[in-house]
Amino acid sequence: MKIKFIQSGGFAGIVKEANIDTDKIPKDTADFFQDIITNADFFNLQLKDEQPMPDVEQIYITVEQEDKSHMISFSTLNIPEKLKPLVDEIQKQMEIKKF
Amino acid sequence: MIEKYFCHDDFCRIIPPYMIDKLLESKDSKIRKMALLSFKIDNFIRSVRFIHKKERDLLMEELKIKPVKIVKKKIRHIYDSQNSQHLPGILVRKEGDKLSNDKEVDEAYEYLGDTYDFYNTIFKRNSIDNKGMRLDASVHYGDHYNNAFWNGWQMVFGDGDGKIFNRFTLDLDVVGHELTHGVTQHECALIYRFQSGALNESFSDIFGSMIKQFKLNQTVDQADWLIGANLLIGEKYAIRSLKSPGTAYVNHPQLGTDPQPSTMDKYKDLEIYQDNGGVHVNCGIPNHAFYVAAMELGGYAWEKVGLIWYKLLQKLDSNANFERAAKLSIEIAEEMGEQEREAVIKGWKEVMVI
Ligand SMILES: [Zn+2]
Repeated sequence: MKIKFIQSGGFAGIVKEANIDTDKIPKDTADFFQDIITNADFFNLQLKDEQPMPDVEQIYITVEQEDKSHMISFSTLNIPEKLKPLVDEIQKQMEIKKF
Repeated sequence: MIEKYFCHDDFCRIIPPYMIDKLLESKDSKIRKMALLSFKIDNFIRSVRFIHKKERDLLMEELKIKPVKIVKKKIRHIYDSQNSQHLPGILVRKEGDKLSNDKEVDEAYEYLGDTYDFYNTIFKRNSIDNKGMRLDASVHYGDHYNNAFWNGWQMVFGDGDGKIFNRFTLDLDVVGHELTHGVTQHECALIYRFQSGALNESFSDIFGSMIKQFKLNQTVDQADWLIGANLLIGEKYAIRSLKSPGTAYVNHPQLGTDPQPSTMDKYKDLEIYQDNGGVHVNCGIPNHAFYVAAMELGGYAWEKVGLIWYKLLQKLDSNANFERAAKLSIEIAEEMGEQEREAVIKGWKEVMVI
């Protein structure tokens, strides 16, 4: 499973990213991510399209697994409860994208 | 307790105030009725946050018969989120209160006042909505939170991580920037994506910079035209430069180099997931157009070109692009005089929008 995580839109215009390949990380961490994706029914998750708010950071998560791919987005003020542990974990690994 | 039932922030996400304003103008009476109800609940939540149930019920009764009053003075409320993500948090300083001795609280209070004074003195504007809306800000939001934002109701400021960012209340231009998002929301409500979003950002930078210039009594050639010069840690760094987009920070160890273009040929065609289509990046272009026009006319920025941009903010449509902003601002300038018209044309030409 591949997780692409992008957080951007804050006051300073910084784009932060993290790319996770669960085949390349320790098994317990990979299981942790897999459980959250399964429990959240990620591939069927349809969130309401929010109007972005000024300087509020927006998160975009794309998950690819086998032949499936799905992207969702939400603001940092409105993180879906079931995805919160995943967001908290990945936020620690984000890197600033330098232009 | 009450907050649990009427969470300020959750409610905002359901019907943002700018949408309520639009709904109130609807031709459909059912929609108008619904909007009016939302509007009353909004004001109700704002008033009841800190009172008892008995008083709340009385207030409800009162709201049914009394229209919402337009306040004609500056009213500030500063809240402390106490490093949580709870909004608004605890009320720690309200209008007329003495210094709190918490620098974030006192900076927010002072700079909200400066911003109100600027809009009121220069444009005769009565607060964010021009109807005397109370200015609310929460400080100490989140844990070392590296951001400030406007959530449709209030300003929110993080403390910064102390490594890359200082506290977000430190610069008057940053506070003015956030509050101007509120003004934009109540005027043309520029959609916060791609070019209209970059215009939204640009208005906030331009007015944020003018608010600082007004407080420091600076003419256009005395101003530094920087946004967040103290916010970004390091003597030679700022967040954005209206004078010279793309130079606010160069070779910053964590951030790299300021990506802002100043001309259309360098416009960054970014995807929606990159800063809502580059709203904080491409705003360098209209920012610089304003700067060029302001320098051309000289004196205080707010006297001529600032007034043109304020009128522009009131006339633009919500999905306007740079070209539309250029065309309208030239028309507005024309009404003011030949010199103004030429200066505004020069500004937009230099950034290659026209
Ligand atoms: Zn902004």
